Amino acid sequence: MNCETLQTAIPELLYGSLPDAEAQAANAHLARCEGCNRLVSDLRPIPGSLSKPAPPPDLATQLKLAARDELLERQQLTGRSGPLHLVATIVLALCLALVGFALGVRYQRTQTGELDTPGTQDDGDGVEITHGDGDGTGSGSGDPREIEGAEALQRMLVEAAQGYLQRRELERAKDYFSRAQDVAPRGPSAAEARAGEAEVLLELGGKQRARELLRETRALIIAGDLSASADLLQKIYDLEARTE
Amino acid sequence: MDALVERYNAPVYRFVLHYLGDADAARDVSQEAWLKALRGAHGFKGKSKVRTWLFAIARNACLDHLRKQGRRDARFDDEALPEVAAGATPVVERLARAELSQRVERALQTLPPAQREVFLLREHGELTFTQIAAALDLPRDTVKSRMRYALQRLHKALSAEQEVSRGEL
Repeated sequence: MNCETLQTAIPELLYGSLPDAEAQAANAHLARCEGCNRLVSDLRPIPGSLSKPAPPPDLATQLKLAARDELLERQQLTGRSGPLHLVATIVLALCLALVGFALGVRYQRTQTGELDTPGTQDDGDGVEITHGDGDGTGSGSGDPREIEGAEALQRMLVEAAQGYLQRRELERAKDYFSRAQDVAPRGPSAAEARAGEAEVLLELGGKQRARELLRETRALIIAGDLSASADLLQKIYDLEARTE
Repeated sequence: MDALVERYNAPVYRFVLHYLGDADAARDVSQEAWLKALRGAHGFKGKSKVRTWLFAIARNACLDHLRKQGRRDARFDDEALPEVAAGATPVVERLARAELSQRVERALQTLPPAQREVFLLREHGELTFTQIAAALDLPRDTVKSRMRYALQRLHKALSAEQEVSRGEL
């Protein structure tokens, strides 16, 4: 490795994502090149140096309220409203109140030093941040935070799809169930998404694809990646009967 | 959506805050980014990771904000490689952590947005260089070179600030 290739590799070297062989070559070069050694030493303290300020304590609540308003507005645009939405709104409001209270307590604890404070390496939700955790292509697929995010998005899409199905907006329900499967193919809501799409397809006359989806749903349950509820199993039996 | 907010609210906020360098704007732009994510959730095709998708939205919201402010690229030079002065004192390693954080955050605002966003996507987004390339729709090598320039320019800014501090003593 020469000076030019070393300097090209500086980002991956500093973030610990340089492949082993290249890292060894880089370290060998640094041992014999004072200029490159000096440069890397100068830059090394910068990664991970930013503070981790906590967001304003009410921001999460505001975001959830804004999200609720957006969803309600969308529902009103499609001309749907009724007692169920009222109940859902009340339940959501209660949840938000609890979240707001929890955030307030957390903020107080942060202020009193019981929780993480800006400048620490914790990202504010109890998960320690590590730098240089690899940068290979496809790396991070097992990152539990990434998986959680995908599963949360999948759950949101499944719930939206179920809402459309209830309102008999079948094409839109099918689209959302399908997208939910793309987001996290083996997530906890993946079986529901497949069963949901199968149900829609049965309504639309697509028995063959519905059968395939129900087979996949069963396979997911057998693989033991999720704790299928009795309701979901019953639903699969009922839907399979309709594909006969 | 609530679970996504719980998971990503803090890192997205930090990314926006350090991108814009303005706490008031960071609050509004974070909220705008989340609304865009909500409106666009049905368009998420699973081709990228949720984290990459969310931070790409947050980055675009920051750019929209800067455009509205008429700030984009106005304060910055091109991406010419800044020279680190030969024999410059390696100042950053001697600074206390809190002081280093403050100085890096000030120096961040002197970076061109193209370099700043790569640095912040790695630092706060915890995206790999491959994921950053996907979020910005750029070749991975371009992302790496922008990161290198960002690091060198930050170091240069920190060194210059240190020289000023010394001169004032």
